[in-house]
Amino acid sequence: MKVLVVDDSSTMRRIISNSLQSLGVPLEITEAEDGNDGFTKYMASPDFELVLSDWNMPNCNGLEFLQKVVATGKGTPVIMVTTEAEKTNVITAIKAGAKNYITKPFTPDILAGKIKQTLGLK
Amino acid sequence: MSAPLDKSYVGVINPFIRATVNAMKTMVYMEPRRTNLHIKKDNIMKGDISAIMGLTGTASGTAVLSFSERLAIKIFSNMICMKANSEPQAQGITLEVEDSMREMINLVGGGAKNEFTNSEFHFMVGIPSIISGSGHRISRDPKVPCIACDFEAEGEPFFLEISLSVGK
Repeated sequence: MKVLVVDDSSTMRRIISNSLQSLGVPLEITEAEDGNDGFTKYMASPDFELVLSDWNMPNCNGLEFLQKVVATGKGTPVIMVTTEAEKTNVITAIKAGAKNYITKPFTPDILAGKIKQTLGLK
Repeated sequence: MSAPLDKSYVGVINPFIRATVNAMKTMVYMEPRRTNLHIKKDNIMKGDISAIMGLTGTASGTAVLSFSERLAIKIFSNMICMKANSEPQAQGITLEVEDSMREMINLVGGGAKNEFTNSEFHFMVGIPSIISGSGHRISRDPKVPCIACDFEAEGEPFFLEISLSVGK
């Protein structure tokens, strides 16, 4: 499965990448450090099956990145992974096209569970 | 130097304390223990590395987490499951360790922010900065009290300092 992980924290990108290993499927993970970097990498590869993105990032934030990805019409599921737990933010992200929403801090099990739910994996 | 904590400050620091404990338990796999709660009068940090986050909005100020070098390295290792992945431990405060400290204050500031929604202390979180070195100082608005909570995790102390006021 080709996954794009967008977060300005290298630590968080590694945590997410480690958590993805528990899905038990072959993975090809691409990392990006903000929304601009993420969108460039997203457009450079036509077959991402999942995108995980932080919200608060410099240059281009997660919501702007989400909107750009949705606007391409490729339909790649995007999961927001963020400390922004306020209900209004969750609604904003879902309305903008996010398929799921995970609030930090999270355990690897929670992250894997939300990904499985989003992709319909067992 | 510290003085006893007035009860009126408890409501300000408690969401940050809860967010700190939650972040340490959930993402660092450590059980932190509170050791002291007080108003801090000086600006000298007790840790070797401090992560600072500006808070702006209805309320504004700073949130700081300060760790010993040993604990900062342990936190980084635990966060990325270094032992499980058989990776060598970081030697000193590397850029990666600094990044993990930024993420810690992000988790704490973000967690507290969510608790203050619809309150007079509502704020937005800024992009964190790092200061390191023994005895480093952090300058704050002297008119705003700095509420400090000392913790201990795995035998190492760490420090949470909140300076937050409404309508500034």
